[in-house]
Amino acid sequence: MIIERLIIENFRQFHGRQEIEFATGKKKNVTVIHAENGFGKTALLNALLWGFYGQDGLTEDLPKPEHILHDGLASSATDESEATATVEFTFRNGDEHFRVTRSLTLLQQADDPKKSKLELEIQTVEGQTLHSSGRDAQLKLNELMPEGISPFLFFNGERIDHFAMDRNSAKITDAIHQMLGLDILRRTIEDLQHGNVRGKLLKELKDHTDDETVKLIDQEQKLLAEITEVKQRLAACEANEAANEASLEAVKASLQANQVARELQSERVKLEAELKEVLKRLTDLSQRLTVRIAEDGYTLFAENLVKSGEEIVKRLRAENKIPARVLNSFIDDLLNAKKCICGCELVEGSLPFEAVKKALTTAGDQNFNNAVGQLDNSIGVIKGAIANTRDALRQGITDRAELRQRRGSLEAQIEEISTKLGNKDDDKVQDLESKRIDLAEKQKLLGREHGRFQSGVEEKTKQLQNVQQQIKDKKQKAEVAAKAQRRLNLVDETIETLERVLTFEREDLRQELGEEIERHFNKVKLKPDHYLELTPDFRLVLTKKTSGGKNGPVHLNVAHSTGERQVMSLVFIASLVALARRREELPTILKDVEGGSYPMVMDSPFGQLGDEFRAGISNWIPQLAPQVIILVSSSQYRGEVERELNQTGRVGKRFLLAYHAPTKRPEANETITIGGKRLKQYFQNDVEFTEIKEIEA
Amino acid sequence: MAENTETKKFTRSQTAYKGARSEVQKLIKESLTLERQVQHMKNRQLRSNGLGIHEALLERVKALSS
Repeated sequence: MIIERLIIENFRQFHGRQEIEFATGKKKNVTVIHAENGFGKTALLNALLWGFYGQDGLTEDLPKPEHILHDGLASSATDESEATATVEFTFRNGDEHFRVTRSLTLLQQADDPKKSKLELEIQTVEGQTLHSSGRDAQLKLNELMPEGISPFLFFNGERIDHFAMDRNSAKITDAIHQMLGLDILRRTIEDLQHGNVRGKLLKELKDHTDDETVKLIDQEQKLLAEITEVKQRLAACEANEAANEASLEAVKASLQANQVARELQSERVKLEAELKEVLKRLTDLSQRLTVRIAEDGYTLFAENLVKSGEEIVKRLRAENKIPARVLNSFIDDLLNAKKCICGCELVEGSLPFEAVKKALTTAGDQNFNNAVGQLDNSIGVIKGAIANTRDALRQGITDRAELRQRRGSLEAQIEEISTKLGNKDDDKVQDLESKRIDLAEKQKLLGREHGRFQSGVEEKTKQLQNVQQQIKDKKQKAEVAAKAQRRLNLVDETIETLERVLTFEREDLRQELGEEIERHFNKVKLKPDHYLELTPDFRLVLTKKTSGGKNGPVHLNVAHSTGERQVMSLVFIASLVALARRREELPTILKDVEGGSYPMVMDSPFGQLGDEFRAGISNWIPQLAPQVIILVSSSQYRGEVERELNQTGRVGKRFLLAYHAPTKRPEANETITIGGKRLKQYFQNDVEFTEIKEIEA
Repeated sequence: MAENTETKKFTRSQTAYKGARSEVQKLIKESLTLERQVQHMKNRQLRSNGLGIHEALLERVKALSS
């Protein structure tokens, strides 16, 4: 999709008819719109969103979203049904051209701002012109650009760093579902699980079944409700954790930025990263030790048994009982044959017969011989196993002691840094450190709460599975109940299959996305040993490769600033957009999944970036999408941003939002310098409005 | 042998889908078709008969397992 033209009339602060023709070239794909804060950047971004989705599409940071009409026009209008705000835009998608017109009169705004009028005109490949309006038009627009994906394409750059925050895996998975078309699988699962589908079948089953099963079904429903409740509490806990984590990160970033605290804070970041690694190794080691004890621990208790076994074998050998010189089977054969080896007849009751028979008491048994031989062998094997187990456990215990010692040392060093920071003769540092301690403590508490809810969910899910199994196991005699049971089984199996399909598809896409992320991050990263990874649990993690220890290089998590998180989030979105473009090439069970080629509209993409990233990002931004529209203030568009962006040669169009008002905003200058030229951006006027002016690209 | 080579080409999700019994496969296919029809509708009702998505899904389950 390429947006060609935007016409705004009396929308928000845009008074009268204003027009923008965007850069639409393959090479010249970037449109830069310059505007000081408060001059209309956010309003312009929202004009496009309003055009696409109406009132529901507006961003959360737009003040007074119910005021669509220009305030001056709204207050002076004599005819409420005449005063109208309109957004019209044209775009092409493949070979088709579209014109969207959305308008709202003052009368409609007062009644319900959601009641805007929408018209859509489509020029088809065959040259036909199709018209639609209202619901049909909205449906078509939503098919072309689903509402769920708009936050990834039209966004405020200063507010996207949340993707890179720890514990925001839910937002990442949500983005993957939305952009890559998996949402339909999720919706299908939810709908099949709904009370109106599965719930109704369950009721049918309950109405036609015996008391015992009814009790089980009641129990199942109770457990389902309890699981939902605990999951909600878990989600709330996760949200609290995320918010607390964000505050904690902000405090850490402030400490990092503070000259007095910087050195100690950097040291602490390193120590905390190492501590994390040590704790991980400790957990792994404890798990390995547990497995070893469970599998081979018995050998250590078998030592006495082995000793007595050895003594028995030794004694039998000393007594010449093994190996036996004469086997009892041989004596039996002589008695049966009634003839001794000396040729003497062995008649039952005779003296020679009795003499040979007596030999049975001293002769050895072949089975006994074999058993003793096996015992001898086994003793050797068990002795070896005892030695191996003992060595492995000793080594494990030594390693664990070393790791525990290292953990203790790291914790002491971290504590010492905290004390030093707390004792610094600087109120701000003391205050920040005190806040950090409180937040870290709170995070620990929330972590414990999280664990409790998590295990609650797991425990109840086990109980639920048990009850469900009991319900399934019950034979339903009544025909209706049997039918309901069959249907319920069909729904459950379908849900289960869909959940597996969704998990596999999501996992496969995560891997594809991980490769895209690596490719994009390599273009902007500053340090060669830094890597951006999408973890299996959908967290965006910045890691640093170190030379590591015994087991080779290791990746340590790296703490990051808001600016770095903004870069990480931009890389994530760019990778998602790139993957969406080639979505149809990726295998899926979903039919008719098409690749989507979308524009990106970014308000203040350089907002929070540190100086070190500004040049790289400016150079890379034109490659983010087939069409890129950037809204920037003069403070963001300085130095290397201007230089690098111009050097790409991809800026095709450039506009300035000029501000007309009785008085100038104190924070803005009357003029702005772009490309070495000074341009007037403030005009004194009785009416307050923003004017769009095209300037030299 | 040729069949084995063919099987190897399936992704895990395709294998999971193909491993389900035919009724389940049909319900998945029909549910996804219905979901696609209401995907962008606020009221989530089918245009063909005005049924809500839940009613339509229940109808399909009953038809497939009568």
